[in-house]
Amino acid sequence: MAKGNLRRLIIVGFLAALAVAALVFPTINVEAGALKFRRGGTGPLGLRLGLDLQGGAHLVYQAVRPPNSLRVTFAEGVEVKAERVTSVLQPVLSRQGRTLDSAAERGVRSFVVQVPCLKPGGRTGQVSALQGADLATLERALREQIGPLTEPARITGGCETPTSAQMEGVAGIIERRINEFGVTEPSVQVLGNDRILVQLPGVGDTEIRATFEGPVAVEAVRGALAQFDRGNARIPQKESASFTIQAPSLKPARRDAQGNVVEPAEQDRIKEALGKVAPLKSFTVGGGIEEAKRLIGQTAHLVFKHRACKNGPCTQYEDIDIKLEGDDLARAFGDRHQTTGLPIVSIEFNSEGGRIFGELTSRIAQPHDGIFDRIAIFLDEEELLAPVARQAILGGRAFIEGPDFTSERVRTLAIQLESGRLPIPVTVLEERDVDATLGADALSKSLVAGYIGLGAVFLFMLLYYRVLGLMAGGALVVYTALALAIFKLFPVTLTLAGVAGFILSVGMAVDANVLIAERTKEELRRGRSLLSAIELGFSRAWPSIRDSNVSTFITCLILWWFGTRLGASLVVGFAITLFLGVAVSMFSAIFVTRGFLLLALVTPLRRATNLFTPVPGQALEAPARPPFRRS
Amino acid sequence: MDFVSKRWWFLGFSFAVIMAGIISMLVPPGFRIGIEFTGGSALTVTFEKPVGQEQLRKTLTDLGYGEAVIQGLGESTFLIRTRTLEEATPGVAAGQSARERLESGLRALAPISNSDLAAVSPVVARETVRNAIIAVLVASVVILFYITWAFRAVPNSIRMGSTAVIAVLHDVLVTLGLFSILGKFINIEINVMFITGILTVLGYSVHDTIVVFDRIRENTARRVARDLESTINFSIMETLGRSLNTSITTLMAIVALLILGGPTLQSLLLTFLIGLITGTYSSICIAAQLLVVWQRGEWLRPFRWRRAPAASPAPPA
Repeated sequence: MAKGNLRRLIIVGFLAALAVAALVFPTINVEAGALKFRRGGTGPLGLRLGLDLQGGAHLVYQAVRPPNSLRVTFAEGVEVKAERVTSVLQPVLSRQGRTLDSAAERGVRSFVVQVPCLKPGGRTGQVSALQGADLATLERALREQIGPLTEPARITGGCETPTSAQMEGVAGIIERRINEFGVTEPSVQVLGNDRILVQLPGVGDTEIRATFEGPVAVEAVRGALAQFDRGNARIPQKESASFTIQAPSLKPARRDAQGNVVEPAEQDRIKEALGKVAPLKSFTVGGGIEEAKRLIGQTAHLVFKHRACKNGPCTQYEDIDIKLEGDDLARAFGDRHQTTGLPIVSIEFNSEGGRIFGELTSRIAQPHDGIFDRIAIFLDEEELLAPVARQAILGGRAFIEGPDFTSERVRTLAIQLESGRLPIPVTVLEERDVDATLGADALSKSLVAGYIGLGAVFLFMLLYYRVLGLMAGGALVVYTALALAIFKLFPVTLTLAGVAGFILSVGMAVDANVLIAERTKEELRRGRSLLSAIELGFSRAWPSIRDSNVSTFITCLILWWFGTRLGASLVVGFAITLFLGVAVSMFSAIFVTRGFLLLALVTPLRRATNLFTPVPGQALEAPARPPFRRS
Repeated sequence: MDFVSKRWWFLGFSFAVIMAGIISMLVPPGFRIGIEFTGGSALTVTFEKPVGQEQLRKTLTDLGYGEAVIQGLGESTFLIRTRTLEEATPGVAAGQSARERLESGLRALAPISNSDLAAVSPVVARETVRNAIIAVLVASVVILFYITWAFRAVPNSIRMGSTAVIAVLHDVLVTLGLFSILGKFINIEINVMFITGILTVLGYSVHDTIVVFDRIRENTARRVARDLESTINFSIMETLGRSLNTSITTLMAIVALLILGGPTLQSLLLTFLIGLITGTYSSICIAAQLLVVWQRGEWLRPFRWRRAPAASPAPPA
């Protein structure tokens, strides 16, 4: 028995040491060939914290509206090329505070001129479509300097306000992209009617990679960084000329009210400072936020491809590019089938798109060797749908039906198709550091309060349960280390909900220990020896621990499933930490507490049985015998 | 102490509390709802000199915007998210729109060099709340079945499953009701943290109740008493020490956080606190007692109370 316990204690010790090691190093980088394992965040003990617990980046994106298309058609006899149109219009436009994107010939003496509808320099991107007096001025300039027009210059489109469905679509895509990259728990909101607010936790992932022309001493680099208060920055790679500097919370450029740069971004100043140490060969800033920004900057990209199937269920295939893209799609909306009433997605292509689509469907409506090809629809490189075509569709209008389409799903699909249809480019309007939503002061106060609370719990356990309490307390410490290490390695991004789940699981771990302690005490009072009291205490307490924990697991699983399916990340965070916490607590109760208690048996403590029972004279004593005297 | 014979006191007390809560929820405003659900306005304010976040919070609270979420964007710039601020419209007198009044109040701290207001969509959609509720209900049903199966050694174990779930729902209702009542007096609102707290209450209450039921199961198997009532009462007495100790230890941690921690956590901690207390209460005083009520077929007894109190067997005190 003692040998069994020794083995148990060794395992516990080993795991505890691993856990502590995992927690002590802020980041863990393991690269073994193809296996890349990188964990670590910017919170305490290197845990990843959500936006509500730590600050992050605050980015405001503005939806860029498509430029105004100005159509001008000159009368017969006028000879003119696009460059002339451009040179005539440009000075007029710049007097109006605008620029000119392009002018192209689109027919005989007919041109389309693209004029962006964003007035440059405005801080919030003032939007103004080309119209009225401005338009008249342009027309007059053209008539006077080039020649008469057959019809007044017209605006044929552009500058449309994005619909809320489109903005939602873009916001959804941004959120998906950010999540994919691993910057989890972002906050993405539509702001006003054409802006998106993105808040990303953990600016700390940023790292600076600087390569010098020749070898440079680390100390010199640190010296240069010292003026930015970064003399103690972590510099993991210590090759002679190449450095990776962990640089959390790089300050962005400071701008004044007009949006002009008052102080250059910290990364630029650091680059300058390092350049003074030795000539720089390369200087890049990488890491979570920068990459996320790069991803967001791209627009939603919708592509249709011809999927040539090699077998019936089309599990092997080759996708052929047919040059059919989001631009060619005119409309997409959710609808109901006329006869069956089932939800469908209706799509309409423009004339060029309709032609390509017609060719595609004619080809794939006929099977080859009994195999039907499909149309593969991709959004952002991710496959959205891959339907077959029942017949050749030549009019450019089609609908997509599916056995599992619900009205909610078709609505989502339509939004996704639309957001790819009108690629809404977005530009960064604002970028800054943001504090935790909880408030930095609240967090530190809460940490202190947390320590005090834990200390009080420990003290109580010690006083009431004495030696048992001491063992339980020790087990709890090991439990906390194990649980936090698992959070870090999983990894779990801790939001406040996650912390709540963890607190609850700590409560349950305490409870498990209390159960064991109470049972053991009962057995002791019945006069059993210390050893059998402990063993019996465990076996009696175990069904209770098991059943209550299993029901907690069930709750977690259901909450997790619902949460992921329906996008309630708050619920998911809670479910995950609670699940992991309770699982670890079960392990801790079986292994750790038991191990410690049995350990106490081999020490001189075992003789002082009175130290194992709670303080006598307490009011809550269970009766030694049940009262049989009920009437 | 006889927990079982006093069951009607406990049930009555719970009923009264829940009723009060329901009445409060029906009287508008039923709840104070946080801006994560309703959406609102985001005001970015840049002061001409640095302003401390604590001062800003105090000023906002004085102006009636205590629930605003404040994020610092640098020393003199803050992003304030709050309920919708109307701007000046032709109908409203000049200088009197909500936004203007708020800004003039903020100028007391420092002159404002720039401010930008935008409408902000809800962060948490209504569907999320609805889905969370559905998830909770589904979880309750599954737990009911699990408990019924796990406690099959006890006759009619489906009763145990049901009463455990009823105890949980009781806790959730009490917490909601108390929040509704409190919301009318102090600045406490239903927001994302509240939902987290409710989920915690759910988990804790089930856990607690199962511990008591487990003891009942064990004592039933060991036949410690002749009838269910005595068995249950004895089981409750035995687990009382453990229930209260666990509650006290967790309570200590929560109270420490409430007193010493920041103001923004209060919604969450208060939910924990209430949930912890009702969770323990429901495990000791409600769940098992309902088993007795069920076994004795006493469901309609409260309605018959006026008529023939002497008819039902009165247990000796």
